[in-house]
Amino acid sequence: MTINDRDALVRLAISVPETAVAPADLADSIAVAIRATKQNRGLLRLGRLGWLPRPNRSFVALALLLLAALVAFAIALSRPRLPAHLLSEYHGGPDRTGIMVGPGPAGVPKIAWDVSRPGALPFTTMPLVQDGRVYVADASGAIAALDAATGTNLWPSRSVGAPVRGTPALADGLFIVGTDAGDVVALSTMDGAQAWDKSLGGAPISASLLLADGRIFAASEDGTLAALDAVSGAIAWKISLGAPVLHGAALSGGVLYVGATGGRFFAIDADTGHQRWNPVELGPGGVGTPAVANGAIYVGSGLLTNTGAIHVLSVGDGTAQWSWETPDQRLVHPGAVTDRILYVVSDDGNVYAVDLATHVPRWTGMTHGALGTLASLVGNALYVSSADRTVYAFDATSGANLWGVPVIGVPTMGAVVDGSVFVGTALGHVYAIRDPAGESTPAGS
Amino acid sequence: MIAGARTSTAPASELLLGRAAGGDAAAFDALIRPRLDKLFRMAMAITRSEADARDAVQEACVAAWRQLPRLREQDRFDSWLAQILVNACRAHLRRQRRAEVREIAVDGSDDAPAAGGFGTGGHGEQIAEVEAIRRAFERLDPDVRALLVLHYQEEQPLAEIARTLGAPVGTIKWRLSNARKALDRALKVERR
Repeated sequence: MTINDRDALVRLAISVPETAVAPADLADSIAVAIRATKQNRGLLRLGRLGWLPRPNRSFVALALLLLAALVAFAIALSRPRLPAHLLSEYHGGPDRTGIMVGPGPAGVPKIAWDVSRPGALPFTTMPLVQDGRVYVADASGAIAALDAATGTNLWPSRSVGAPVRGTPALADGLFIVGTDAGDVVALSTMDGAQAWDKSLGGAPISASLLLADGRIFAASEDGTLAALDAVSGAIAWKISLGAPVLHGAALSGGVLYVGATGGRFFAIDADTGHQRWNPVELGPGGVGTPAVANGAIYVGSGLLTNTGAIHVLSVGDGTAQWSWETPDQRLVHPGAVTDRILYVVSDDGNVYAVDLATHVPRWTGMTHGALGTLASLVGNALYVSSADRTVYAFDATSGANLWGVPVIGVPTMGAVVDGSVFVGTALGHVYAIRDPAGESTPAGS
Repeated sequence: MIAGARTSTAPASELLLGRAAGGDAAAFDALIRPRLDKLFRMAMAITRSEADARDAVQEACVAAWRQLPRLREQDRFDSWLAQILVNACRAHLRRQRRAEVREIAVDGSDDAPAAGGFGTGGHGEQIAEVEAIRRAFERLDPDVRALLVLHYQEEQPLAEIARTLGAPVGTIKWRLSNARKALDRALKVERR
């Protein structure tokens, strides 16, 4: 073979024929993605200073940059510092501590609006709120953006074609959902148009999505755990945990913590998908959504069985530090956690404020139905959704019952923001609960 | 230029570029659509996977949209876009390389074109040789793949490759020679 022949063969082997064309929907996907993406304009365009002599251009540019930096610094100082993603995903943020941005409603709130959706909102989901809009996805696959003030649907009718049972996530102008068909689907927050759709393999994605550092982490019922770029949907890595994942992960310090049915609990490097430490066995049954705080992981085990416990593990190596059970070993979840108290919700209908120093409950709050959802904590108020079809608020310090608002259907966890609690229910209602006078409690914990 | 010797793409209109740089998404869409097939083929050639090519093109277009207001030389739009795409493909392949130790291949990794899919139509030996080269190519480092695709598929002159990859012409010449040698070594491994 001559050199020229060789080059021709290499060209033939490497080249993609001109008959190959881009997938038909790619242009539309890109169009939706760019409409949801802000351009990077920098602080100024030097080209506009062309009328100045060159030395002056540099001087003026530098002066303007300094001025802009000073203005930005002053604005940053004058604004309240709110975590950027607190109501962009399940349970308040990637560490799943349940602490929400708030503020919550003051006084004894009432239902401000009640919107009916075509499908159920399972207790594993939660409405998301951003920029005055409430985003919901239901078990019929219908998706909506509701005006937070009035409940009016702001989008045309939208569906992802398969039930949504876990909580979606809001990222970079996209509302991202996991479906029972095994797809992760991103929709533009502007109008609900589909931006991208990525299959994880076909098994249902019932665990809530997790958003952190521009990535979406999704787990499915065949044990797949994947990291996707939030803007493009590109899969960065995908692993198998070997058993169904029914509840979502928590993330802290660049590590994902997630449990699988069968009781195995994993620590996965969020950047690479590699295991950080060997899986920990938490006993039979399923593992709930963990919370990460105070250098520890708080996670409930025993789901799908009749006995449960909260395990407290070291984030460093998964070593068991202590555990906690109700007197009759009922199912329990880490409802919310601060630096002093772990608020445990149980299917015995009680919420237990467990002191992290003594491991003894400081108080016990009672409802009349199982507590299957996690709790929301804002300031000194703990919000709990009970299977007795009531949304409750407890004083987080004393355990006093502040109020209870009945709803139609078992409520989801509440999204607490802007003086309101937004909940969905298993009978397809979405509610805004707020003080009719518009008062709210202080935010922060 | 993205428009290689075999395929022509109209130069980006100054008007469209100006509007797109000013935040007009429809103008950007009008710029991208006629280039999409070309971009996709380039990404397919580097990544060897339709799914990965799709991801890389989408990533590149979103990155280009973000950075467009900072593009100073608008007449270089096509080579600038090609540079972003090549970087997206390289990043994508590197992420995949890291994923090789994982339990599931990132989707689309089995979507490489089938044997004979490129219309070889030659003698049996040559078809076997083309297949061997194709497999050898897939063994190469992402940077080497990108360089070979720009040279063999895009038929870019050295100066254009240098602009796309952001390196001096002399360096590109040396790297191209090394890339050919790397392909030869990979081919020997394939023939064992």
